[in-house]
Amino acid sequence: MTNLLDMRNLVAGYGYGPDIIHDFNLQIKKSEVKCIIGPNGAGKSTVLKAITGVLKPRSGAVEFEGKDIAGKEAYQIMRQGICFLPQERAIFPNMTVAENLKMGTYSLQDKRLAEERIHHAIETFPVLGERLHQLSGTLSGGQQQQLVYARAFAIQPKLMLIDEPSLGLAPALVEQTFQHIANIASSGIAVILVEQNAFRGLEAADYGVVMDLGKLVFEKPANEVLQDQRIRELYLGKAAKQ
Amino acid sequence: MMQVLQVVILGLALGFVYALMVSGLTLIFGVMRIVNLAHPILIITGAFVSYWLFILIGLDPILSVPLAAIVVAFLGIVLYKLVFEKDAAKQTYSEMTVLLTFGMAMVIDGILAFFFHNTQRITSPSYATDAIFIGEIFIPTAQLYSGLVSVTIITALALFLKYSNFGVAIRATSQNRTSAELVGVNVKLVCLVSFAIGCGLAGSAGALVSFVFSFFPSRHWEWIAIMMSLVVLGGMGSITGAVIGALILSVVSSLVSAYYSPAWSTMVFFLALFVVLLFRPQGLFGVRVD
Repeated sequence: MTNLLDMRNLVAGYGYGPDIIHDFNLQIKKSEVKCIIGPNGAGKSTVLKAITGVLKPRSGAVEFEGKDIAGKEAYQIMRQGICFLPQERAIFPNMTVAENLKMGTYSLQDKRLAEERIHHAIETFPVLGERLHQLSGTLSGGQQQQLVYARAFAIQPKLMLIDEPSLGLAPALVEQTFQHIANIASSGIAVILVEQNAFRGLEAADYGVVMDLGKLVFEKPANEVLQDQRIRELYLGKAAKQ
Repeated sequence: MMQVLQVVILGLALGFVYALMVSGLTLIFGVMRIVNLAHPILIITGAFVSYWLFILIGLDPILSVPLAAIVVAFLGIVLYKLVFEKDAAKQTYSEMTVLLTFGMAMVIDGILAFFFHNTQRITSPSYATDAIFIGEIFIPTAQLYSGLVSVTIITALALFLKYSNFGVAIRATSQNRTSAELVGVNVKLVCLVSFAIGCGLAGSAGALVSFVFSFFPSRHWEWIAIMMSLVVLGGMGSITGAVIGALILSVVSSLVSAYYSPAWSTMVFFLALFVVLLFRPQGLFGVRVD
């Protein structure tokens, strides 16, 4: 099977600063879930930003479905079928829940299909259906999180990139969020996940990608990474010792 | 009682014109965080377009509203491409844009003064000196018409932002630029178009101003602070806030003018500016900007 995303020798960094990631390679096939783990500052989030065009790569190639997308604008890359959920809560606070969901189908020309997708998203997240006309900034944290995932459902991307989904969430919400991610993965969408909570992230993934100092250390099936004694001590921290 | 109502109605009519004058300013700030101090001189530019169309071919200033809007919008596109596109529209340089647009205002002021001199002008269509009576209430037609046209344009703007696809994209960009990009909004295009719309609104306000106030190029210095006080009270970036801020301050300043002294009416704007910045810097409807 051919690669959905093929990233080769990628170099990226911010502003006039040094390179944050060096010669990074990453491939993902349809319906795969990969979790990138590594210590703080390893460049995990930077990889996602460079794929999605939020950050322009300095060099290297990024191909999506065989098409070169490196250096394209974020909105163009999104329209190819890549959805990015950044760390910060990505809602439009002064818009209603319905308007937020509608933004998920913004670039869709077919209005009937758009309606269907929004309808489907509301069915999957019934709590939002009860609050369609509420300003999303007034939702609770958990509901805002649901809105972000519901909107991603409405986008129906081929590849979804999720940056630190559990960051700053209460334990109950972490479980809920990983449930959303499992739903996304089971619907056939490929997922690349960056997760500080490496243990939980690897559990949700098929493959674990270990990064350090902007470089790929190795990539293995997720359960093997979980068993790897060195990784357990280095990156999994307290969770591993239990 | 009747007299109070009279003053309030005059204040409201003028308030809607003020609201139109600041709507473009607050739109541009909302989307790009550009504090456009050149906005008032763009209004004067629009006033000159209407003035000359009236003098040269006798075109009624209300009919030249769209023309003044188009001319100033086009000027806005040129300014945006020359000055703003590279850095200033990135939502991170608000402080820099104050200085940048201040300089720009001086340049446009200088160019206008070079060609047209700082003499007071006003377009004088037949209705400019007329008035109508509703019962005992007297309304000068110039203020009535300009108020009505302003309401129409602001309503059109609000409907455009609320319901049109592009309007929704503009609102999304002003609320969360990265997210807008990530759902497929062409943010660069949104910025350019919002800037053009904001300048077009300045131009249309200029056409109305040309027969309501006498104007000359340097008049804009006096308007900068007044317009800032209106948007600061309403909340920078909020159109609703700008309209409400403009109506409140316009009515209050009319009341002060009628019952205390016209000399003190302008003070209302500056006092409001101080008080709002001290106690509620985000204004009535604004959000705190980090």
